[in-house]
Amino acid sequence: MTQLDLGKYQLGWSDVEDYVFKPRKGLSEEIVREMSGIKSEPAWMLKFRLDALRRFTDKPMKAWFAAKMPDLDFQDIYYYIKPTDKQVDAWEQLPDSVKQTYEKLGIPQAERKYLAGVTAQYESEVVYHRNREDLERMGVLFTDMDTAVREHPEIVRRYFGRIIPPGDNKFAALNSAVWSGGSFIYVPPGVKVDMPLQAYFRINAENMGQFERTLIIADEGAQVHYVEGCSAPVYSSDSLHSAVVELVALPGSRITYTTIQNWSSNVYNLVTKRARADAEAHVEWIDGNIGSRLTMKYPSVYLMGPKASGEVLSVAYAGAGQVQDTGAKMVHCAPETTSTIISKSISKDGGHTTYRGKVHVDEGAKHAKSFVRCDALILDEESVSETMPYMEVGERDASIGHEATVSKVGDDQLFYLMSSGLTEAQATGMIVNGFIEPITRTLPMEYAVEWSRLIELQMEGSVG
Amino acid sequence: MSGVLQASDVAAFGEGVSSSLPGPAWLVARRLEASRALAVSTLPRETEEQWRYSRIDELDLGAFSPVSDPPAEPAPTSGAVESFLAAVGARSGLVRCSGGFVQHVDVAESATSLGVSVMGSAGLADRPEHLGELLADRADALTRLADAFSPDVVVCRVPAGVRVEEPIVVVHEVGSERDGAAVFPHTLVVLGPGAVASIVELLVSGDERCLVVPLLEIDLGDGARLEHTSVQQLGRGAWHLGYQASRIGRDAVMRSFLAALGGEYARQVTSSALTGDGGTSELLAVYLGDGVQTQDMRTFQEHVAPRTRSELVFKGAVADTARSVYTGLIHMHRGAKRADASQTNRNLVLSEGAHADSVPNLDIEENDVRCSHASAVGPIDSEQLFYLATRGVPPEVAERLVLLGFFDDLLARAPVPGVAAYLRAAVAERLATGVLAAPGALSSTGRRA
Amino acid sequence: MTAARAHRGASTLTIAGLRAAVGGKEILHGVDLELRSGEVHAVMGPNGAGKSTLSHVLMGHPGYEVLGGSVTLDGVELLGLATFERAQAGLFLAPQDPVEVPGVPISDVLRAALVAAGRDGEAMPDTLARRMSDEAGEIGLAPAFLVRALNVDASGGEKKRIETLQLAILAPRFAVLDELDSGLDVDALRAVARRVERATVPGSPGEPGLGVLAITHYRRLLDELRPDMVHVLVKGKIVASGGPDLADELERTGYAGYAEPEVAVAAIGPDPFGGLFS
Repeated sequence: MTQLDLGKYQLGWSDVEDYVFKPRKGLSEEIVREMSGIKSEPAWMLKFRLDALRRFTDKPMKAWFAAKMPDLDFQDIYYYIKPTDKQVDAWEQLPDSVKQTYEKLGIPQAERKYLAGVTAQYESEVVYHRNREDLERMGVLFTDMDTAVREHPEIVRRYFGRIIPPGDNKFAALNSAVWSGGSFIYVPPGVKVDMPLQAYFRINAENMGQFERTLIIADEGAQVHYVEGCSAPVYSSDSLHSAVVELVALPGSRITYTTIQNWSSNVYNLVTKRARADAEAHVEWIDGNIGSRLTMKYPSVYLMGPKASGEVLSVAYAGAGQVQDTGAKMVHCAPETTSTIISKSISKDGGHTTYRGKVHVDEGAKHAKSFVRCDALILDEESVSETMPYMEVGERDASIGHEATVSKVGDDQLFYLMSSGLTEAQATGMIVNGFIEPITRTLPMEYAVEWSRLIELQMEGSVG
Repeated sequence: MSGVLQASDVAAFGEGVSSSLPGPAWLVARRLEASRALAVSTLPRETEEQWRYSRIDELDLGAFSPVSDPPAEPAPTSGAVESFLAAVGARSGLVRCSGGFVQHVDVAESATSLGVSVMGSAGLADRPEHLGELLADRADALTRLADAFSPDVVVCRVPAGVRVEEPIVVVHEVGSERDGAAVFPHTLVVLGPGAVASIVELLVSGDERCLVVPLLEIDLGDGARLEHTSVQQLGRGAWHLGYQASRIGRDAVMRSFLAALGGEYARQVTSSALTGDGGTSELLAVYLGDGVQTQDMRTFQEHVAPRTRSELVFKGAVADTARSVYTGLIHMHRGAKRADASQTNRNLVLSEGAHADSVPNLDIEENDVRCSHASAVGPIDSEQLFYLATRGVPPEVAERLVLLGFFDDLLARAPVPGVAAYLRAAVAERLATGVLAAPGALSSTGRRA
Repeated sequence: MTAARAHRGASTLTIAGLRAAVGGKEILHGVDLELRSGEVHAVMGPNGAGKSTLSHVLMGHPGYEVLGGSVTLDGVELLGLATFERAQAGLFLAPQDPVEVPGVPISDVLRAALVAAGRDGEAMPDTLARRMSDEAGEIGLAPAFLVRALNVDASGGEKKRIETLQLAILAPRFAVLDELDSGLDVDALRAVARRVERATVPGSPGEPGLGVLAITHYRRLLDELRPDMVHVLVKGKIVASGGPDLADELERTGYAGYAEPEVAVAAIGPDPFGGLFS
């Protein structure tokens, strides 16, 4: 177990548990039926869940995946916790402890300033949700996923589980069986959502499993930017976060999906994220991973229509006891598709970062272009970095490039900054922020500031 | 065939052959040891990371059987060998092997007088030092198969401080016109501290179906310098699974150059372990695939000691429905301070239907290192073709010029100039004959619709 | 000798109503120009006027789409020909930024071009090597570049000298020089201009001088390469033509009289959804 370090992880408090429904630990058909019942789900969804549960049980873990995974006891996890009896659209209506948590996290303040809509998930359920009224008038649907299953079945049934089928991998199967919460967004043709929509995911209970499920559909020519953040208390035993995120970018649309993952160091974060981009659509994953014990996550874009484009900008930080196994996957299935992957990783205090990525070009994806750049910064002698980029090119008229570097913070750089009065930690923080700047500057200002602050916190008290 | 090798599989492959092969007692004992290890080995599968993208699942050992007697007749490939030897020019020694048997050794007196020793197993009363050591880390069912059925071994030793002026040439011919011959050449090169030498190896066969599993082990003492050139020109019926491993001592320098042109499925594992402070390795390769060929390149740059340097450049081109695979690893071990490694893989995909995979990996356990890799897969640059067209050069000629140019910077670094010229001609000939020579075969650009 | 060269007299390059697009956007809106052997014409214009498009379209770059018009050399339509056929017909392009061709020496390219044009005599290794060496001496190009890969590790000035050398050897009838002066210091500019100028002088009877279309943003080149005619290209059309005085006038007044002020790219704000790398 990692040492508790409340001083360092700033979001690690926990609230008193006072839940509407907290069943026993463990995974079984009974639990799945029970939660589906509480949610009053249609029969097709229960069938979907039970089918997925069977797949989860039958499916072996991929060898490379298993190599990094600890012996996770799937029976020692809470699969469904319902914290409140109903969803609210005013923060004041939340129980005090939950409300205070979100206030400490700064979510209501952010909503007032620069968000078009907010979803806040606590344990398994979305407890707060609010959408800007003008967006609703334009036909933008932004709800939690459970509500969408009830209220927008025609859209949900068309796309749910189609981008990431339950059998895709063992954790996608697990999520499909026990999913709860997450966001649903549908943006009608031509509608451009001018401000980000945000979701915040909070795990509070020990041994919690959070399995949210997000589905975003941008119809033809639509634009949307979705931001998710996450945190959890520091406990001495493990929690599991295993989300499934499906994006559908219809022709000419644009989806930007930003994640600032700051789980506490007892959370296993195993997430499947995949987008489908049709003709001339653009999907961008901006993926910041700073927390968790182990993150394994490879956002992908399947470029299905001509001139579709995909981009992954990823920053990973691994400190003491942390493993960040992240990357991206681009699958070029149509002509003139383009993709870019920029990955920056930082390892420190024995942290372990891995870039694991794949660019695949199908025959017929003429003039496909892809560029991958991975830079790793290793801050001390105990830390480790790996780079594993796979390139599979089955089309002559395709150009695929990959570049990578590994470096350390130069003594000269440090000396120069420290001679101007900075401490070593401050200087290192500045250098690290400079290293990831190409990615932070793509973030909306408020997130960029938050991100730089998080990185600086990680540097403090660690060197010298 | 799959899973654990069954006694029946090995029996079908070469029952009794291993134990009946000639040689000194240490070699017989080595084969016996390998046979036992083989009996509990598992053939590799494509699902294993090291064999991803390979064609190992297609290998049917039962379709091959080992060559058990030294071929009596000159090999049908001798004409090709003569032109290669002419291209190499002056040499300090020549070893000719056929079917894995060392048949002819001729070393210049100027070298032997300095204590340089080049010989087959017949001349070696004791097991040569380091034999089998260098490949131990890469051992698998196929290296054990080679050890169990290899009839001979070429051992080349250069004593401390001795400089061999001209290359020593080792020619491996499959040498059998029998369908399904399996041949296991094995070469060990040991350079004492400060020794300097150049080794050139040629691997050839006819067009018959054959299985060739060559092992090459190189041990460089402190301050030694070796240039190693390997030219693989097997026929189109050959399955080639080659292993090369080197250990590079303090301040030693190895320059390794590989040209992989032949074979139906040709896989080469090139591993270099920099175990001494300040050692350097340079790993260069060109590979070319057309028709239904697969060129499969695996590399390891193991930096164990501080201040070690390595540079790897592998360049390949595939046409028709050929495939190429490059996977490489730079591994910076903890303690390899100030080590510096680079890895470059460039691939040209010349035809619709051709396919190239490239996986350049880094595994860095030491922070005080410099490390970079770059990899690219793409067609011939259409801007280069347009530029040459503005000079009045027709597209098919421009394509050939650019493709030769693509390889030329590496060919120019081949350790033996005569080999560079030989390979340039060999590549040009491949481009001038067959499918690659068809107008516009290489590119869709530079020609108006 | 090809038929074209056998009848080599004074030639005419005629561009009529040339319209062309890049990426679906029309850049040239009908360009008319006529150029005869031995003449030097300058095409000047502000950034974005279509100067570079004109040079690429004349040579048949695959990235440009011809929407209409014609380009004829002594009555022979060039627009239907492949790039190398235009070159063989006697047109030469010295691009603004010559492409590096790794591993391919200049001599191989010139030899391949001469052989393809049926000029085998000139392609003989000794003959070609001698001519290249002579030209390099005149142009001031270090001999090392004659054996090196084409344009690789060459400075801007060296690349332009290498272009001029190829121009001299291939001896086309018309040369399009796209920003020949970019990247050149004063000495290099003088050296290449002298060589181009010499090419414009008619040789023996039946060997007319080179016709030059010099595309340039600045007047600097024209001080060295004295033009017979100056054309002003703005927004894809020739808006004025005149004698050398026109270049002087442009130097004083700029293109403001002909063009809208150029829109500063920086003034257009970033797309709120635009990623850095999109």
